[in-house]
Amino acid sequence: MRATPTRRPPAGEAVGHDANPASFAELLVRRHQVGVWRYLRALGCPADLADDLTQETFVTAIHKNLITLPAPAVGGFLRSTARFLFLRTRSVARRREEILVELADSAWQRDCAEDDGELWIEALRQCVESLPGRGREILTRFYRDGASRAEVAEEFRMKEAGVKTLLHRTRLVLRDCVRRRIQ
Amino acid sequence: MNDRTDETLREQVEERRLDWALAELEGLHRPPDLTHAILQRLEQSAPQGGPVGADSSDPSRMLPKIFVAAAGLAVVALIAWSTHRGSQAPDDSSVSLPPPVLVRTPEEILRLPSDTRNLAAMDCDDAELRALRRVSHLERLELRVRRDGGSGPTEDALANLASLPKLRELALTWQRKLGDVGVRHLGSLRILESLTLSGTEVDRDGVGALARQLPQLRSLEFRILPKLGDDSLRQLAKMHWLRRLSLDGCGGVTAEGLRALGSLRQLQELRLAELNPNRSNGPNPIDDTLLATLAKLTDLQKLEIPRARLSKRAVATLCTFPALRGLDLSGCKDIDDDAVRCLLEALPLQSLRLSGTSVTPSVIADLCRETTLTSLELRAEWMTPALHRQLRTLPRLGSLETGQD
Repeated sequence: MRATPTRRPPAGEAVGHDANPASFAELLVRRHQVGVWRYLRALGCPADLADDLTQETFVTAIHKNLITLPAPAVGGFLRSTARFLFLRTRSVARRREEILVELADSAWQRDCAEDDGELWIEALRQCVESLPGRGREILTRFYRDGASRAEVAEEFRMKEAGVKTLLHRTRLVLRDCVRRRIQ
Repeated sequence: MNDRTDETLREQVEERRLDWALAELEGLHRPPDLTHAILQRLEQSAPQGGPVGADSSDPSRMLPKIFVAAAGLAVVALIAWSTHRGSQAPDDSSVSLPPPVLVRTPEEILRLPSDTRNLAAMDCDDAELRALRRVSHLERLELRVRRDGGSGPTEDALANLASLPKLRELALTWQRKLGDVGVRHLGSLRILESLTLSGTEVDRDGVGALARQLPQLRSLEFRILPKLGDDSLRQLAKMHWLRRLSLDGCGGVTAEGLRALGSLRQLQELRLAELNPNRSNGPNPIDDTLLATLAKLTDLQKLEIPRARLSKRAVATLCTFPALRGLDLSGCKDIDDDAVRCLLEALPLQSLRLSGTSVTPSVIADLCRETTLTSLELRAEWMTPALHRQLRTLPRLGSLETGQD
C-alpha cells in the first residue's frame, strides 16, 4: 500500500515563472484547467459538457480581467465562473440543482480547492486498491470501460438491481474510506 | 431544508464526486488538455480595446505589464474578490474604491491630493470642474446639485471630463442644465462603465449619443428624467451591451416604448419603479403583456416592478426568467398566496418584496421554507411580532423589513 498522501500543488503552480511561456493566458489555462474541469465534474457536469464549459470559463474570466486578480484568488474566480455557467445550463429542476451545486462547492472548498483534488483522488485510489474482488471488477467495467448496468449484470450473471445495489454499497465503502484517509 | 432532505442531498453530492473521480481514476474520463482550444477561442472572441490575449504572441511585452498590474492591484482585487465571491455573478467588473471625498468649495478642490480616486463635488460650477482636471486619477466622480435650486456646470464645461482618463463611474444628479448637448461630451470617457443621469433634461438625442459613443457602458441609471419618452427608449434599446438599467420615475414612457427593452439581452438588473407616479399619462404601463415581452431577457437576475398591473397569470411568465434571483412586486394587488407559492417553487429567490400585495399570514409558512432568501420586505396590516420572529428563523436572511402597512 502506498504511503498516506500529502498535499502537493498541481503541476505548473508558479504562474508567470514558466521558462518558456507562449503567453500569460496560456500559463493561466495550463495551471488551472484541470482544477476547473474536475470542479465541474464534481458538481455533476457530464464529461463532454465539462470540456465545453471549461473553455467558456476561461474565455469569460479572462475577458473579465482575471489577470488583475492576485494568484490565490484566480482559482476561486474561475470556479465561481464555472459554477455560474454550469447552473445556466440547468433549466430543469434548477432549484434543486442550485442547492446541490452549493453543497458540492462547499465539499470542494473543504477537500479539493487547495490542490485541485489531487490529494482526494490519491486517497480514493488507495481505497479502490483495497477493495475486495467483485466490487473492484464491477467498478472497472463501469468507470474504465463505460459499460452499462445491463451489460455488467449480464457479464457477472447478476440482476440489474443487484449491480445497482453492489455499486451503491461499494461507493459507500469508498466514501467512508476516503473520509478516514483525508481526515 | 430539513435534516433528512439535507442528508439525501449530501449523499447525492458525494455520489457525483465519486462518479467524477472514479471515471478519472479508471481512465474513462480524464481531464483533457484544452489549452489550444481556449487560446483559439480567446483569439476569436477578443473584446475591443486591448484584449488579454492580444499580446499573446509577444510575452516579453505582456508579462511585465501583467505583473506590475497584478502587484499594484493585489490589495484592491482581494477586496473586490471577497465581494465577488458567492453573491455576485462573475461578470461584475467593479473594483472596490475608498469612500468618496466630499468637496463643497473651490478651495477644497485645490487642496485635493492628485491621487484621489473617488470624489463627490457639491454645486460644482464651470471653474471648479476645470480645476478637477488635475485630479487625473479619479475613477469615480459624482457631481451633485442641491435639489432645491442649486446650480451645476454648463453643458460645454463637461468637456473637461475628458481629462479624467481613468473615470469608470460618473453620476450627474439634478443637473438641470444638462441635456443632450452636454451628454455628447461624455463620449470621450472610453472606459466609463457606470453612468447616472438623474433629474437631468436628457432626451432622445442624448440617449442616441450614448448608444453611439459608449459601447463599454454596463450600468445606466436614468432616474426621474421628465423628457425621457418612447423615442428615447428606442435609442436605448440599441445598447444591447447594458447589464444594469434603471428607469425609475420616468413618467413619459409607455408600454410601447418599454417593449423595445426586450432587445437588451445581456441585461441582469432592470428597475422600473414609479413609471407613472402621477397617472398623468394613463395607468402604470407594466402589465402581463409587457412582462411577456421582457421574458426574452434570460440573463435577468433582478427585476423591480412595484405597482405593476400584473394578474396572477403573470407569475407563470416570471417563472420563465431562468436567472431571476431578486424580485420587487410590492403594490401588485393581484399577487396572492398562490402566486407567491408558485414563484417560490420555481425560482431560488434571494431577495423579495411583497408589501402591499394580497398575501395573507398563511404565506409565512411558505416563506419560512425558502432557505435561499437573504432579503425580504413584507409590510402588511396583519403582520405581528410573532410572524416577524418566525421569518427571522430563515437561515440566510440578512435583511428583514416587516411592519403594519
